Amino acid sequence: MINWAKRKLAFLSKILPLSGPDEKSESALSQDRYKSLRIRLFFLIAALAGVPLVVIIIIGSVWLQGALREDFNNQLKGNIESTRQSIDFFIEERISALRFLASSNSFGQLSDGKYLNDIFINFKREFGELVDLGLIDSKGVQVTYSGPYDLRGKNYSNQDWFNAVAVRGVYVSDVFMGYRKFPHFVIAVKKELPEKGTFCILRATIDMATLNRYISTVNLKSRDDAFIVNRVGILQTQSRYHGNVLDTVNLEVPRPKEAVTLSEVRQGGTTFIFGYATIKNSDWTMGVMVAPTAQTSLVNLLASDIAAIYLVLLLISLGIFANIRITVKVVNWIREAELEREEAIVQTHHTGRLASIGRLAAGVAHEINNPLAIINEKAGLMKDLMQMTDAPIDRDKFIGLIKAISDSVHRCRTITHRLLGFARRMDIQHEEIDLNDTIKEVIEFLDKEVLYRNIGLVTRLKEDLPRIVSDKGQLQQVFLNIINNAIDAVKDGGKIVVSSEVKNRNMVRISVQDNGQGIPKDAVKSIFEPFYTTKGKGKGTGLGLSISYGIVQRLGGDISIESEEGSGSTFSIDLPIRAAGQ
Amino acid sequence: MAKAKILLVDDEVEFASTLAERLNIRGYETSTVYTADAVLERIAGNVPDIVILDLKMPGASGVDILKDIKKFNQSIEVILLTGHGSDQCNSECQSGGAFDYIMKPVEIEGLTVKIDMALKKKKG
Amino acid sequence: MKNVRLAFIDRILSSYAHEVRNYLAIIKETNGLMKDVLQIGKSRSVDSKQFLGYIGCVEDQIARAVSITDYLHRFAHRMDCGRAMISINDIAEELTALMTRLAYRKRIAFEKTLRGGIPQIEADPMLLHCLLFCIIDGKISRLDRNGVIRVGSSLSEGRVCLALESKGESSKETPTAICSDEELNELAAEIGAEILRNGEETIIKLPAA
Repeated sequence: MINWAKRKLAFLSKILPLSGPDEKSESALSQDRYKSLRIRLFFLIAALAGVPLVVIIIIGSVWLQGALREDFNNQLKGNIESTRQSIDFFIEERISALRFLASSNSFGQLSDGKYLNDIFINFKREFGELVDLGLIDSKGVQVTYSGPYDLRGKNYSNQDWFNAVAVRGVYVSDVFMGYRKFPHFVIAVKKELPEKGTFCILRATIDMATLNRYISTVNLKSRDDAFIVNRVGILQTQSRYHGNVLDTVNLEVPRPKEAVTLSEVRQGGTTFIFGYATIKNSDWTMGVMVAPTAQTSLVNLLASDIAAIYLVLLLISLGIFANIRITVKVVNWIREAELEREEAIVQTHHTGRLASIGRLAAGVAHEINNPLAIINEKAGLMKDLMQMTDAPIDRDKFIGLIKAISDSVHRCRTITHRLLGFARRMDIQHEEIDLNDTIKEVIEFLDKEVLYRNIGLVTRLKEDLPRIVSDKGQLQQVFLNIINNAIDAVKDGGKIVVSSEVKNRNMVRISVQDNGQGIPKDAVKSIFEPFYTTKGKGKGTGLGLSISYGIVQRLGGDISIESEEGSGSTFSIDLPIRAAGQ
Repeated sequence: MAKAKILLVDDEVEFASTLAERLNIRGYETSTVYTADAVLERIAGNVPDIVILDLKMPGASGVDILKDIKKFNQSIEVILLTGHGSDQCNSECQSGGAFDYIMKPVEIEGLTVKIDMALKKKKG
Repeated sequence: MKNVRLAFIDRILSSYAHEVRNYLAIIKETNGLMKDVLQIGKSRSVDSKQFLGYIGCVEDQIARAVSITDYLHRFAHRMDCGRAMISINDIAEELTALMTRLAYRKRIAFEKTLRGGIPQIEADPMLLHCLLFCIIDGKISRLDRNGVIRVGSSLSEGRVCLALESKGESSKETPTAICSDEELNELAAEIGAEILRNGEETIIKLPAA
């Protein structure tokens, strides 16, 4: 369990700041710390997941926007093309009809007003939108006219359209006001009169409404505009943004050579899609201005679609929810791992403590044997002297033997007294203690080992060291651990100095200095970490110093170490004169 | 004449001196040594028949002293004194070449039996 | 559970210490008496028989102190060995010896019927000590003075059994056992033991190794 908890925390430590040996174990479990961790993790996940998501959304949006625009543009082009074709067809049809009338009727027939009127009525019936029909001779004089006005005898020889049709044979005029003061356009066809060596022109006036109707078939919305302009940019139909018929548009309308062309224009602070196409057989260009709509803007598309808004909000909510869930789960995982580690350390601490109690108890058993053996020999000698010799009882000798028994009994009592004292201190409690006495008691426990290995253990204990309020049992364990480490570090015949002093008015200091092998510089900083050990495999769990560190921290003190490889180490334990929390 | 020369090696002075006296009463010529480094010197000066040796002496391992004694004079029989018997004690006994071991506090009759058996082995 | 274990060890060590102190006290008194006889009765000759009696008493106490110290030694070494092959009889012997003083406070005696030839079990001896201690401690706390606790071992259906039965008047005082029934069951589960309760008898069952 220890290793699993350790591995989990080691992995998480690489990506998140977690508690280390410098932090008190209580803070590892504090709610504030986990709250802060949750917040940091939430934003970390949001950043880690959000950044690529945003990038994907941007790329996707740009692509989708492009796709939407292209789709719309294609649709618009289609509409414009369709309308253009309709207008083309309309004009082409009327030209063909006029050509037919011109070719199938003689000049004389067309010069007959009644005849022409009949043709006009038939033409109008067939094709509608016809305002008038007239025959003009080669001099430009209106010979016959059928229509609502009296235009017979009118001379058009100076007008551009007359010259144009005379040259080209067919002419579709721009819209113009003319004599009738309303906008119209004219289709005129030339009829050759070879027998006279001249020509005449058959001319029909077309109603503006027709053009307007065709223009309106472009699928327009409220902000859109469609119009026809001539070569010099004069409106042939009404425009929403550019004025009435015969007004000049304030934008450049090029004449594309083929197909429908799209571009963008800025009008009144809005960027419009501007599509234009030429009308055949005329000098006209059809222009369509479409305002950005939902169909051209992804944002607008989404904004206009309640379902899409709802879906986006739902996705964002799900994302936040998932983030929160993951954050909570990870923090709980961290908390569990830390709790497991704490539990494992506490468990190992407990096991270590039991093991150290076991060693002490075994030590007591060994130690008490000696004085018991002495008592046994003394009593045995008394018995031998009485049973096995004939000499009278030497009272002084016997009293000496009895005194020796008494001394050994006292020695046993001291050992058992120490054992009792130790046993009673196994619960944490605070009491006023004499640290020097505590140190001496601990050293007594280690007497045999020190003697056995010929180690010179010297105490330099400040005589009037202030008594401190702390947990004697726990401190005994700390001192035992530190001094044991010193014993392990020195060779046989080595030196250990245990000293006590007043550090300042709030703290006392206990130092354990040895002339052992010392600790390498890079190991010193890790020496108090759980599971760190400089001893060989199988020799120690590496928890003794970590546990001692924890105990001293909990008692409000601190442990530090100075060490030089090859020269030895000094552990300094600083303790408050008043216990933490008092 | 003494039954045998016995050298008692133990750092507990009161114990060793009293046991020595008890063995003297029982007809043995017993001397005592209280430190590990004095053992070989004493043996060299006056070779004992039996050495009764405490297994745990300060500054030295009882097994090392045992081996030194055996190296000095193979014929000296050694009986080890120990606080608590164990398999480890048994193996230390055998590996060092000791005759036997006895636990403290010492049962004097049991000790004298082992001393006599060791002497028999020595003569045998 | 950690507190239970520490409390149990505390009691055992205290019990041992008090027991040895008891023997030492007797040695001291006997010793003092011998001194008095030698010093005060200077003019009189020493009654050898009487004196040998005193010495015998001292030797008896030494033997008892040595015996219980041996149990302490074995107990101490069990505390850090983890799971091991152990004899239920040895565990029962050690623990009842170490608890003698605790039981003696209420003049409660142990009667042991530990059968030979029982196979060893594989368990953590320290935990088993603790379990046994908790059961016996509970019985002691519920018994009035002059009671008896019978400890018997047996083998049944491939399982090693240790039966603990208290005999005597029930105490009118509130029981002060260190371990509740729940903690006891938890401890038993940790060892892999089954506890059966039948009136005043508690039986611990463990699979034989």
